Amino acid sequence: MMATIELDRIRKSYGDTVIVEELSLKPDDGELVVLVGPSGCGKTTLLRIIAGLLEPTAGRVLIDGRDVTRLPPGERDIAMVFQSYALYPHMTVGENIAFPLRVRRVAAAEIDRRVGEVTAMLGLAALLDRRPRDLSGGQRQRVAMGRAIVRQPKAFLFDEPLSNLDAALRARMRGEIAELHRRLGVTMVYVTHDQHEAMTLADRLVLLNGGRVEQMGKPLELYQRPATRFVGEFIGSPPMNFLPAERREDALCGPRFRIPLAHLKLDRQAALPERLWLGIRPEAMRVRGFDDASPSIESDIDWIERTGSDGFLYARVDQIPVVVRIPAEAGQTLGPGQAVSLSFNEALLFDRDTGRAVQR
Amino acid sequence: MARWLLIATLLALPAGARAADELVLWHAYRAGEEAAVVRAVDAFRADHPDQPVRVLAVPYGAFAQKLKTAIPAGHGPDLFIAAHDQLGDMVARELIDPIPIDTAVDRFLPETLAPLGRADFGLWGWPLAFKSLVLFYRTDLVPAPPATTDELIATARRLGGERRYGFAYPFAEFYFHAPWYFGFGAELLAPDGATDRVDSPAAAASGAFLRRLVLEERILPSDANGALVTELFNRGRAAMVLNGPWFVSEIAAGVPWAVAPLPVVSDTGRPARPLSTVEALFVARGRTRPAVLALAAALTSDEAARWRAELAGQPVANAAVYEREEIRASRTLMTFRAQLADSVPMPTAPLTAMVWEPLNEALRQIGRGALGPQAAFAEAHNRIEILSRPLPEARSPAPYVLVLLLLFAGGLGWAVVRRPPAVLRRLVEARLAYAFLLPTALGMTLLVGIPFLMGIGIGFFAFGPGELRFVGLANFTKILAAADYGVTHPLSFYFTLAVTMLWTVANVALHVAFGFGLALLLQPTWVRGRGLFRVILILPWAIPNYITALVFKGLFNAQLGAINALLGKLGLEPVGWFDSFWPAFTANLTTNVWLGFPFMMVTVLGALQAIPEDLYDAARVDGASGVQRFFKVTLPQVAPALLPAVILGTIWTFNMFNIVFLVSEGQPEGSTDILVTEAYRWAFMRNGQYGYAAAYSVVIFVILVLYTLFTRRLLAGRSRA
Repeated sequence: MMATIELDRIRKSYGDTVIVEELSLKPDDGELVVLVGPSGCGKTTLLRIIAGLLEPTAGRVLIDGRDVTRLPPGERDIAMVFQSYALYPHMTVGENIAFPLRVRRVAAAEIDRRVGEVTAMLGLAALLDRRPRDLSGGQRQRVAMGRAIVRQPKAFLFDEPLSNLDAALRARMRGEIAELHRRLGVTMVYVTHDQHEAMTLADRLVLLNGGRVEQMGKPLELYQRPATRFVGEFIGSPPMNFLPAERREDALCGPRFRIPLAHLKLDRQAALPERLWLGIRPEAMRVRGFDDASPSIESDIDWIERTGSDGFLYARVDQIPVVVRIPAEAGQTLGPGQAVSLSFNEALLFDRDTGRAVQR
Repeated sequence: MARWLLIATLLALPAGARAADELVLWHAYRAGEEAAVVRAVDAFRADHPDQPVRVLAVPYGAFAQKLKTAIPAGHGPDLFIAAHDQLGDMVARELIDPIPIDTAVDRFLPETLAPLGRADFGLWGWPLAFKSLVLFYRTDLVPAPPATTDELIATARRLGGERRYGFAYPFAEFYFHAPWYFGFGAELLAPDGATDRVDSPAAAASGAFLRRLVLEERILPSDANGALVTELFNRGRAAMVLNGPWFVSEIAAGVPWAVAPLPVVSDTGRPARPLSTVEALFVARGRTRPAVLALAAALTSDEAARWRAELAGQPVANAAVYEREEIRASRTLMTFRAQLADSVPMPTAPLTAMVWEPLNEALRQIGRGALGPQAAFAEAHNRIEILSRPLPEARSPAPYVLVLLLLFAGGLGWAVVRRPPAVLRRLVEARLAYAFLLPTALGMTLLVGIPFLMGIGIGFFAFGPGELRFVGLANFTKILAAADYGVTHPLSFYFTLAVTMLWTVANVALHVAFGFGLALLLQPTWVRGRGLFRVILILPWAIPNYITALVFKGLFNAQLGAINALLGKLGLEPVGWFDSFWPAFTANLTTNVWLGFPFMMVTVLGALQAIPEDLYDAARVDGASGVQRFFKVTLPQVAPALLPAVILGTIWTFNMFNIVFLVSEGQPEGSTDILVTEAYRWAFMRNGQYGYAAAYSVVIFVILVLYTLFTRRLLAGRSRA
């Protein structure tokens, strides 16, 4: 039941407006691929092209090696879950789930059996005769998944399926989707704008920006080795801090810091461009102790935020805002307006002209 | 207190406005004729400066009805001007006084006095003017008017051609056929009121003559009405027309025309004799007094008649006027004067009101060749017999009153037993709210509630001339038993009901089909200019429907309509749209579909726009075909909005009076009439059988109530599911 999906040099534009620039993608069989990116990046367009709801301007969509670019959605043997769930309001839960089978004229006994299986799996058995308007958001979400599962398709497409749910429910449904993927082992393409959702679900993460692939890879790869400043900024919460820096012979100089290059453990010092971004994750930053020998970055505190499990220190390095993740109990003596000296464990360097990461 | 007094005074004003000695004159004239009356009254005022006179112009359509209600109630006029053909009814209703026996009447033309004569001796009124048909012809086409019908046919044959006619008149109206009818020696009613004269060889001979004009010689246009005849004459496409004095003001400027007396019927050697109507001045019942007689003398003086002849161009009743030089020079007036000698006074017996519709039907059937002349007049006689059957026997209202009282008491008892404290308490608690509702409740009671109850009540009565008779359920049983004619006769309730149901179902189905189809076409965002199309397609709805009906009536005209012209261009035979049931029904249906689809289209468009696009995407991914998406997604989503529209549309269509009444006019033989138009005909075209018509309305109401109850259950069932 597994299948490969391949996008071959897909392009989509409306007149002069390019939505997706030439894009190729070939996830492995059974992978959960997450397309993530800010709104307008083309991720939903791409998903709809895979589904067949949109036709690409150029390029091919292949499922199991077969070119389906001109095939209507119903003949691609893939299922889709919509952000709005798109449940048929005039049908009961049972009728909604049975719909894809019914339009394919599957025998009634077979329909009953498969709807029974799916509803049991999703815990919907008690709701079979309800109508969508009588269900909670989570229940509707599950019905929408049931309608997708019941067909036993080659692949699943999810279009921001959790964005209409509250935070707690979202976490739970995320778990359920992951569990579903594990059980079915089918290729899934999942679209979201939420990097957290993307990180936790993805086998493979595709970060899109302005119709182009910014970076593609395992989630941790994107987190640890962002290819561009954009990736560093998008993946991780709060986002990576960026400080402008100039390369001087043996050090990086910024508004209120001077960091010896030695401290950065770089591989090839000669390859460094003149103008750089110094990228430091909030969790790699700390308040510098008196006995700390590491280079310092001088800053002024704006405010401190405590979430219970963590604390976040918001400060400014010569007008440039930075966030530092601190232990929950730390920084009791600090307050807004105070000057504080910061330090870091590791940092990444980006070319300030191209935005690309400097090879280490 | 003073305020209430003021209001009471204001309310009482219309009744109390008449000053004690004021003379009140009612007429229904406009333009020149009104000016002539006003001038005569002004002359009277000048001679009697102390005598107040009030002149009231009552709209023609309401005139007879107002007289019937105002005079018995004591706030009618002292004098009024009416046509003599209402005399029978007015006498039966005791609306008028005869004029004093000593009044000098020898100054009037004797032909204008005869129709006003009383059974014994004396007169019911003073003649003012008279009207009859004469022959109008275009002098540029007809150099000398025909003296005989053979000449008429020869001339007309010579002048006819492609969409041109030698002769034209609305032949399916008996008034216009009357000259031939009487010219062939037929009679309308026997002196004793028997109706069998209609079914006579002479009548049949006049019918054969009509058949010759329409079908054999093809001289006459087939579905001509008055407006079309005027149009044809003004454009030079009809050379000769039959018409009355009113036609003079309708002839376009620049058209060369003249009038001539009607020709002699060649078959009999007798002159064609049109019906003549005398307009007369009548004194309202009990109003005879010297001042009234003085005003009457002024209004009927030779001088007043001269003004009428000069200002209005009307043929007047005063003999002296025709001695005047300037009147003698008027060929038109002198022709009317001459024609009067060869005319038949419009009969005044109340029964006459019932002969027109059957006779018109007979003429229509002859004109389209559906029946031979003899059979058509026999059928007309048959129909007159049905329509003029005696009123149902009077019944004692006692049992009905008893049942009503019992029902009322039972209802009251039920209300008391149920929960009066709760109802009363709520009434008291919400008294402010109820006070606000009071004006509306009062208005609804006055405008809807009382007329509705009156309507039901009238259904239990029968109306005869000057008679109101309680007949119990007789009207209802007569309707439901279809006793006087077979179930398949167009007059039968069941036939009409079947037509009405067919009409309703066909209309609503087509409204929904067209509305839905167009809504689907206008729905996709890629349709360019769909805003404009929507506006255009809603237009039929925005135009008053009677205008649309008249336009379509013209389009479907057999000889001059655009639709037959188009069929001709396509090489098809023209269709006599109103000659048989299905074409006539189709013409009505087409008109009403044109009027009805925008409502459904707007409803469906609204419902379509409420369907999220995602549902269609989901259905496509789920593998539903276009047809499946329509039936499984679109239709179920639109249905909740469409169903109430269908129910409403059904009720509207069921009672769609205007279209049926104006487009097919029930033709042929009343077969395309629906229940409401039939009810209207019983009330207003068949001698005021109001009781029977009201009973019809009650039956229609009951049918619609049953339908509504049924659909309510349907709707309730849906919303529960």
